[in-house]
Amino acid sequence: VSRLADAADRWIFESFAGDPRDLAVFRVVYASWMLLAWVPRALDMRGLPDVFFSPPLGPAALLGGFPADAWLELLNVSLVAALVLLLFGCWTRIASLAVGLLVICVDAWAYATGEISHTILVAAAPAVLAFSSWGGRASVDARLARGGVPPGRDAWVLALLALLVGLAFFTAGWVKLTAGWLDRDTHATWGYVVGNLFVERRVTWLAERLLGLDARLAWEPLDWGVVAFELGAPLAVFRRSSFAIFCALACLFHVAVRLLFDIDFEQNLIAYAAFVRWSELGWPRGLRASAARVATCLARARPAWLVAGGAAFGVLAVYGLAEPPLHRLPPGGRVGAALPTLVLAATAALLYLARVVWPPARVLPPGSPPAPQPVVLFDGVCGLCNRFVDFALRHDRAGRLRFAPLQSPPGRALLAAAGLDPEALVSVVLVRGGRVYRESAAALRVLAELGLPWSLAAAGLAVPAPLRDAVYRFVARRRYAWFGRRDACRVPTPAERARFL
Amino acid sequence: VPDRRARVRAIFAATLLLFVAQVGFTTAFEEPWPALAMPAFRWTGGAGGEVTGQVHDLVFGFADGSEREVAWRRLWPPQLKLGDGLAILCKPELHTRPDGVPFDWLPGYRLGLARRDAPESRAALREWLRARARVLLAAGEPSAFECRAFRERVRVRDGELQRDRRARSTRRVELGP
Repeated sequence: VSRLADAADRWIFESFAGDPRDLAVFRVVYASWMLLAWVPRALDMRGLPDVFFSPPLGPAALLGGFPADAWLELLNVSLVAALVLLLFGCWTRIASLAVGLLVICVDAWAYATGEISHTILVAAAPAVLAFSSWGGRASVDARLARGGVPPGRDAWVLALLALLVGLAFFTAGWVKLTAGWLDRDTHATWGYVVGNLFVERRVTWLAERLLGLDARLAWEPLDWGVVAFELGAPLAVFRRSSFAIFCALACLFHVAVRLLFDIDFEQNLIAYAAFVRWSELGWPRGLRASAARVATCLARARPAWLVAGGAAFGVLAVYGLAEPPLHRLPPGGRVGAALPTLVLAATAALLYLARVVWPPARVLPPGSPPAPQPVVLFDGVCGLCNRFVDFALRHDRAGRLRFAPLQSPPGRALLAAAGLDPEALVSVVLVRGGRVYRESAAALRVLAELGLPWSLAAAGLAVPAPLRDAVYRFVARRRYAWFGRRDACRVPTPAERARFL
Repeated sequence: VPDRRARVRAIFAATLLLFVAQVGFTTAFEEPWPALAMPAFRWTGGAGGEVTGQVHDLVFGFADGSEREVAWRRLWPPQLKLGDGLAILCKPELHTRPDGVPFDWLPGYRLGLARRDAPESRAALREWLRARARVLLAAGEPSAFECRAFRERVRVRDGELQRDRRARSTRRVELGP
């Protein structure tokens, strides 16, 4: 029990720790996206007769019918004003809670005709992050030193949001599991596609083209895949890295749902953006300078102006625009609003997954020890590693490679320069051209240096890194048992000495 | 800080407890709003390569006997999702909430239903349908609106799509003076 409690504490308080700038960027992204693509909302409910009033169980069901139009308009104006305050980070906690509450209230009317569209995560994100430091930078609150949550103490907030996302997905998967989606006699996904197309008359480009595919072969794996993905969501929340991969897959999932069913679950994408490490995205220098200028401008705003400006913008949005600005993009309506979101989400998700599958090499910082030729760092007492070095020495006819045991002073210096732990002797390392490769990438790239036929092994780099590194680690953990261990670190022979650092 | 950590742990525990309670409520009664649970897509059609469902033709009739059909996605404003609204329009008597524990505990939940089929709601519906016809059809004042419900079966056989439909019911709303 004690170990379990410790593990739970580590997950809650440490696993989602990150750069405080990330949350500030997310605050600006969230508020901007909501102002451009979300509000005003549900204004079409105005004028509907009460015969359509069929609210789900909840506060709206306590009323006798649709509210007066003015109430819906007031809710929207208030939501816009709260979003403006959130954008500028002014009274951030109050503005965040207000945004969460107002999104729920407005959507209570959007769903008062009976169909719930599951936008709870859009409301949950600001309500939960109200207790984070997302207003602590690039904000009026920061300029006025209005306290707030110190950075570093709010990792639990992201863990809580991840938990909410995971649980929400789990319920979606659980319903499918218990309803019989995995029954081989049903083809639920195919059934929904057909139902959408011919019964609901939601015509989508993708559905029309995929409809004729053999149901069992093509669609049954989709049923299983969807259920597994949704039920597996809670497992991903325990590590930030795995949850980020889950979010990237969820982006692609929502994009596919939109293209196949014309169902707009992509609205939840904005909640997943809370888990993006914005500060690590490698922004171009010019863009970073512009972002810094924007941050300064946000912080300079006067609270009174923001309240007045937010309310004025709200009135303009409700009575002038009547729909979110992005909805006006061609081809218009919900599709117009979805397109930029879908394109951005799909691009971001694919780039992120590509980064995970083929991670970029670590770059040596400026001022590191010079290494004009490729250097192979290896475990000097490991039988397997020494045989690998012998092999490389024999076949490196051009004499390009240099070697150093991980335990040697030059090896430790290079490891330290690369930001790697000199005491963790778990991987062969290749330093080449200012970049540092580890594990399977290092081994394959060493082979690539040897010329034909050994260089053909470089094709193995196309295998996703998590897979080949798993194999590498499996062998590496057993290398002493399987291939023996020397009593002392390798000392190069006189013939080899020129090849060793 | 131990106190702060204890509060945070309590928040996580409360979240999990509320989640379990909400899933139980959703399973026992119906999906509430707001809710974290997302119990949609429980349908498992598609068995045997066919789908059966209810479809609706929405038709405005005119005094000269002509008819104009309107897609329900045009009849309702685009921002709304009115799958249920369509069913309410065509079969309002089927969409009266049953008695049950939440309704017994909180009689206010019946308030919204009381007005659904009331004379003033029917009058408002007629006026709304006339207004929509003016916007969508520009073909004079309709004399009636009909919601025609069909049971439609869609099958794929040897790569060919087959559809057949059977009439189920028709609801007529007189729009004349």
